[in-house]
Amino acid sequence: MAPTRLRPCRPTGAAVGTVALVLGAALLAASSGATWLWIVAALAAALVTAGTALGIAGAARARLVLLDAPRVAVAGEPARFTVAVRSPRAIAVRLVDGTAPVASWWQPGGEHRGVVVGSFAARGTVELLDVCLRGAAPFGLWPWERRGRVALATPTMVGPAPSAEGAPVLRAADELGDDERAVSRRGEAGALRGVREWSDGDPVSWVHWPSSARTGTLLVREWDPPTADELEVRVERTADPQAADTAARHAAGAVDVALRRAGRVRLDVPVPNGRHAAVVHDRLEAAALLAAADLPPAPRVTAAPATPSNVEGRWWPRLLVAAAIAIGAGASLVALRWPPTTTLVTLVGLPLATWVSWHHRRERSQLVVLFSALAVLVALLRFATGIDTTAAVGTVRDPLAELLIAIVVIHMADARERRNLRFALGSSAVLVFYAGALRVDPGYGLWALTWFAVAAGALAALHRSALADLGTLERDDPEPPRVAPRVARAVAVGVASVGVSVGLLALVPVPEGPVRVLSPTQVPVRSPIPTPGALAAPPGLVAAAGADGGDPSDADADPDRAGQQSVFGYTAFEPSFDTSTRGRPNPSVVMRVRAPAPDFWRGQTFEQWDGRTWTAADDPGELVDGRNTRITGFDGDPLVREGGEEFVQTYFLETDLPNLVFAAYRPTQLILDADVWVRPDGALRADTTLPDGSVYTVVSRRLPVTDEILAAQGAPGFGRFASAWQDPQMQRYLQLPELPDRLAQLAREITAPFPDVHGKVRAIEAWLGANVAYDLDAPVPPDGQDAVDHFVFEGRRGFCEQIASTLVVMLRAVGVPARVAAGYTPGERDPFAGVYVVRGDDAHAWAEVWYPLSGWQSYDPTASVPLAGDTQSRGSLGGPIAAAVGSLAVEALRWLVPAVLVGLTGWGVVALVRRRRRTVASPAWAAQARFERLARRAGVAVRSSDPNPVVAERLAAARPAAADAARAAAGALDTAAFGRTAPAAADDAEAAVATLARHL
Amino acid sequence: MERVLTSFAPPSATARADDARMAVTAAGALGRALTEAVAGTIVGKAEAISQAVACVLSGGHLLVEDVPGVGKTLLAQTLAAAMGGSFGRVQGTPDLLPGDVVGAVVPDEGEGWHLRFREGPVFANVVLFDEINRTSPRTQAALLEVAEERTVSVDGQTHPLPVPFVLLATQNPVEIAGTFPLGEGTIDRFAYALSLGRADAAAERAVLLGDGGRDRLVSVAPVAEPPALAAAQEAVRLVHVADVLADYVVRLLDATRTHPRVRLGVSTRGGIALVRLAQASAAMAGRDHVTPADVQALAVGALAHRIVLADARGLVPARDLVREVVAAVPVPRP
Repeated sequence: MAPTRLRPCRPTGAAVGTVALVLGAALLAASSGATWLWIVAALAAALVTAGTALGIAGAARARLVLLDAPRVAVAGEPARFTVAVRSPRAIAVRLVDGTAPVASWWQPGGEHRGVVVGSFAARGTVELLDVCLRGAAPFGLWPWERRGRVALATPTMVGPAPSAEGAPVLRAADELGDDERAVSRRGEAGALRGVREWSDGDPVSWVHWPSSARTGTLLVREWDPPTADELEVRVERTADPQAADTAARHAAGAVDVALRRAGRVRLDVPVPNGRHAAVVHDRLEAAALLAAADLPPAPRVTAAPATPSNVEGRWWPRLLVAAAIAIGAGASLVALRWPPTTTLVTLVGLPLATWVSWHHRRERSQLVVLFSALAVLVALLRFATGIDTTAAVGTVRDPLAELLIAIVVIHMADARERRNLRFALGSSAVLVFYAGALRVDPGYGLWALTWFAVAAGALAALHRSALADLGTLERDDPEPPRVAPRVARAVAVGVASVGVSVGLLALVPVPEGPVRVLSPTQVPVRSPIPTPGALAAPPGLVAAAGADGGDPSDADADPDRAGQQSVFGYTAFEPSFDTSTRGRPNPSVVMRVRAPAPDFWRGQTFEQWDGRTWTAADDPGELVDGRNTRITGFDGDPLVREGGEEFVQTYFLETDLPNLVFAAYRPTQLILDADVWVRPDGALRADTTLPDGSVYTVVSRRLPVTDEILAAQGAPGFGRFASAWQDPQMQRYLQLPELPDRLAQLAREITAPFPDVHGKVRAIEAWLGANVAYDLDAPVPPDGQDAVDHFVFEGRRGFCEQIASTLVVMLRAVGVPARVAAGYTPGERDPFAGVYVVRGDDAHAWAEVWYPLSGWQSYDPTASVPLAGDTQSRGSLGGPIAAAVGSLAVEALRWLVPAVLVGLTGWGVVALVRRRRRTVASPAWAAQARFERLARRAGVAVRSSDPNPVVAERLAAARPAAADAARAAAGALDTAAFGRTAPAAADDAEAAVATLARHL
Repeated sequence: MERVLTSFAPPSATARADDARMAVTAAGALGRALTEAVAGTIVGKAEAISQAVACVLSGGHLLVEDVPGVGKTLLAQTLAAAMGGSFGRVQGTPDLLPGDVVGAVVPDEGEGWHLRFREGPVFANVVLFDEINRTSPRTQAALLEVAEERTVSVDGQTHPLPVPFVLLATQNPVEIAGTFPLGEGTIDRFAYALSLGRADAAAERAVLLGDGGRDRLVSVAPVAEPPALAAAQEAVRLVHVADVLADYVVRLLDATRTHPRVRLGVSTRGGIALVRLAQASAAMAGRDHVTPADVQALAVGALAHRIVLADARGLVPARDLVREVVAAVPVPRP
């Protein structure tokens, strides 16, 4: 029989959903700037691609040949088809007649020939069957299908399904009239039943004379009584399809009943030229006749699914989906700091919902639907009105996340069928990605990867249960399909996908950063500041500073004032700070900043220098209220209003901080859940201290800055912008106390060769680099002496405050407006979360120099922060990730190698113990195993139902040189196994197998 | 018809294993001799002949089913001739009566009105029942007691059959018209159902040229006396059957009972028959223990005719099913 002709592959509907989900994940990742989401999306895309390739490979080269189909069948009853299917991968096959499914099964890869049981749906003559082959990829994510047609060698006549209700049957005898007995229409005489003694009433013709003569008594032959009635079933010709179908089904039912009564049945049907009547002996003959009758074709049945999609009898998929939802909810709840209501809903509701969905998996329960609807209403009300009576102190409020979690958990209760479970899995993906946008800590990566593994497992389990529902082929030569190698192959595919996706990430540039639309902000607890516009310390730290040995009274006792922990977290975060103090190093994480590129996170600026202390300006600025504030005018704003790029930063605070709002220069928009004092000196202060858990977003505008651009702006009194340098507003930033002469002289000497400001700054930096050393152990200047003077000429050792102060003082001495700024350096980049991790040690003070076109430009000789214009190339995601993964791998190897060694040793010990136990139980076990190994290595198939002599014969056929040894070995093994117990038998067997091994 | 008594004392406890081995070896030699004797007449069917001889050695009854003209009756006749002892023959016709087979109570010749039991043709060492499925079920039922208990009960008296007693029956396949299929109870009493099949070309040519065939029948001489045959049948039961092997047979039987296409699986009688057949086959191969290969070689013939399928009739589909089952059930490994 010619193989079927199949059209090329095309994707199925499920593919579109998967693509949509992956694209959505990528979009969310791009908009939130979280690298983890990129990684998860890339992994998913890689796995889907691998699944696609496998699926195409499976379906593209599949071949199906229909070897045998029943000639006659009854609609709705099992019919057996013999098929031969060959495909390199596992595929699911469906045979369809028109729209009604006939048979469906799945099979693992390979060549299979066997019998499948299906059923036809409607009466008629079937000549063509549609074939649909689906490549079953490991996760069922992107099955490709091919459709084709197969012609049946002989058309199958499908009779109607017998109708259960009775139909009036015309008795043939009724036509004869009432006075004749129905028996006159009897068929052939009954069969001989036997011989018995004569009794009254038997006709003489029944006597069997030979037996009677032999035995001396009258013996008669007894016949079975003739069959009673002959029934005729007549189907009338009609043109109405519905009536014809009903009549045919009634006829089939009547024939069924009549046959069971063991009578003769004659079926009379209309044929194209007249009528045809025949005696039918069984249902199949009746079905053939009815199928061939000249009746209008049966109405096409709409394809009800042949196999229900309920996930019956398997709890694995449901449990895995529930686990995926739990992980997604947990990831969000960690970011929200475990709000009590939602945590309770998840902990109690999710197991309950899973149990309910398992309990009602077969049919829908109206009660469950009602309760789910009510619960969703309650959740929506809570979201809409914002009432939360059970909010605890310290939790982060995000009503949208809580609503999402509640809806997903409630939906799980109503997840009966497989597609509901897939939808629930998709919604858990939404939860995980939302959590990814909320969280910035590195722990999220673990959650995301765990979710990915669990979701993949759930998808695979759902897919396998779908395949199991389809049924399998009854093979001609039953050999259990080997499942074990597929696991290894799947693992290899998974590892390859991971490698490919990490490699692909090398092409993806670092995302631009959080999109303003998604900017989250929350301030968990408000503590209003006592004096408007002032700096306020967070409430907890005051007491801590007192208990911590940083006692204010100690400060007077200790002339160095070294090691004082400022209540503001850093000495420079006060309204004024003394350059001779230094803070205690504090390595704990202060905040995480999600930004695409590094920059100084500036908090304060200082204007006045009195020889020892820097003081900030008095003007508190104006209070701007609202959540989303536009920041308009600062002192020293650049003359260039347009241009530059938008630089979005989101700050996630992890300790209690004062009410400073950190921002990169120059901030244009602030999204903060509090009112803000916008100070003209460029600092921002909130009207509440910002506790642990606060989040806010700043949008800054960065102008492109390079050495050439800065140099082109000249200097006060020099260059094109000379007049701009004389701006009276900038005079404040030239304020200096009475400077020692040598200091001013030195400043002039250093900057003389450079006419432009940028050159001057670089010159001072170079001088500092050559002449002073960075040292945390700086000597304290004596009272009365200018701190910078002491540092430059006597101490020559200092830390960031001294160096910054020196730079600013020298610049002011030559007429360049400059000031000191305090804040945080960018910190360490965490490539996975896409954040800069800022620690207490990163608190810093640096110099800011004013330029007419570029505004305030930060300079810091100690920290290596590149100029804004030099960060055009942002680098790719993959580079740092690969490096981080590499370091992780090295880290893992350190404990992986001993773990592997321990595992191997344990496995070796267990194997030895098992071997010993089996040898004690049956001494010839090892010899038997060796025999089978030798046979397999020689290319001989060894099935579990092959006894040793059969294997030996195959081996003899394959290797004639070893024929005798093989037969001897088989005989010895059988003797050792089944003979009378002889201790030497096992040794004989071993010797025989050893001889065989030598021959091979 | 005299009854042949056999006295076969089991070997003494001390030398039990050795005696058993010797007895088994003797039984095996007898079997091989029988096979050789029959092979001269039935050309080219060595496998079938040795299976038939194994059936006889195991003490079971043999059913030979095949299309007409392949030598079923000839095989049975040759086997009977080689086995020696008395021979009885019944030809199955539709009007055959049970009394014609087992015997009847007839008036005694001589004076007085006495009744005596006149033995039927089954009272012989080897009984050939030709075309058993052409007689009525009533006559077939008369064989139930004959085959199982080797006695005949007529008119309140039980008469034992001679020892050894072997029933060889032949039949045409049930699809052929004009037959009365054997009932499940009757056919279950046959230990082995053999199907000869058409000979290959070389064998058929040899038969056509006169080498083998019915002409050779007259030259077949008995290989042993009935007491030796009886002793061999007893000795076959001494072949060692390992526990794991009995488990294997039970699993085979179970698989036939639980198969979805089967309406009636194999009974315990079938299992017993299979084990005895395997013992006989092992003895003929010169071994004193049964191996799974013996069981597998005889499984189809021993089990197929006892199985009633739900959706098909006849031996051929049943044989396919037994082959499938044998290929599916794993063999015991040491």
